[in-house]
Amino acid sequence: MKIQILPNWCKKLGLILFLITSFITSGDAAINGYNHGYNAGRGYSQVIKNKSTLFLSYFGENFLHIFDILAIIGILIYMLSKEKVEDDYINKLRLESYQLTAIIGLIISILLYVFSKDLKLTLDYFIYLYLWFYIIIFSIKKRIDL
Amino acid sequence: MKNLVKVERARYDLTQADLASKLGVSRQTIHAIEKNKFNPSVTLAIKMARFFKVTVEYLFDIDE
Repeated sequence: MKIQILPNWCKKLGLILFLITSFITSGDAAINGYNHGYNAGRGYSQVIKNKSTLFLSYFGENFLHIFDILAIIGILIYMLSKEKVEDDYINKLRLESYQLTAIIGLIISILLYVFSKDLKLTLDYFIYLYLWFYIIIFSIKKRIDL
Repeated sequence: MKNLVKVERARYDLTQADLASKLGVSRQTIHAIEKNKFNPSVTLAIKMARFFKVTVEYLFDIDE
């Protein structure tokens, strides 16, 4: 079964969509993280209460949620796009990557459940976990002689 | 399965990328075949044999 349904140029489209939307959605967190690190480095121990809401106030919570979904769609487009040359070996690597991703995802989920029974995580953690693990594993398998 | 793809490729003075583009497959595929990590499909084996002007049996053999 062929699941790579999109042409190769969609890889660039997915990547651009992901980069732009994730820049917007993670903007506030990046600013706050930078400020926190900068102040900690200068020895300011007091907690800074006024956190940056630059992107949140400009776009609003609903739009940020939409951008977050667009970021996920961007990675999904990247994942479902064909390679420049599609052949049996690439398909084999892809299937192995899906298999390994599913196993690693399950192991991480089980370990989280074992060590922290009451831990509640939102779905986006698992979505990103699966998407990123697949992309990283597939890229490594393609490049490194495993 | 052992194969003589690397030998034949050297005889024709081709890089993995050259051979891959002539056969319409990825460079990684040629690399994996040469390293005995991937057995090509019958179609690709025949294509390779025809390209090198040898028989499939000569190019690929079972490792006993």
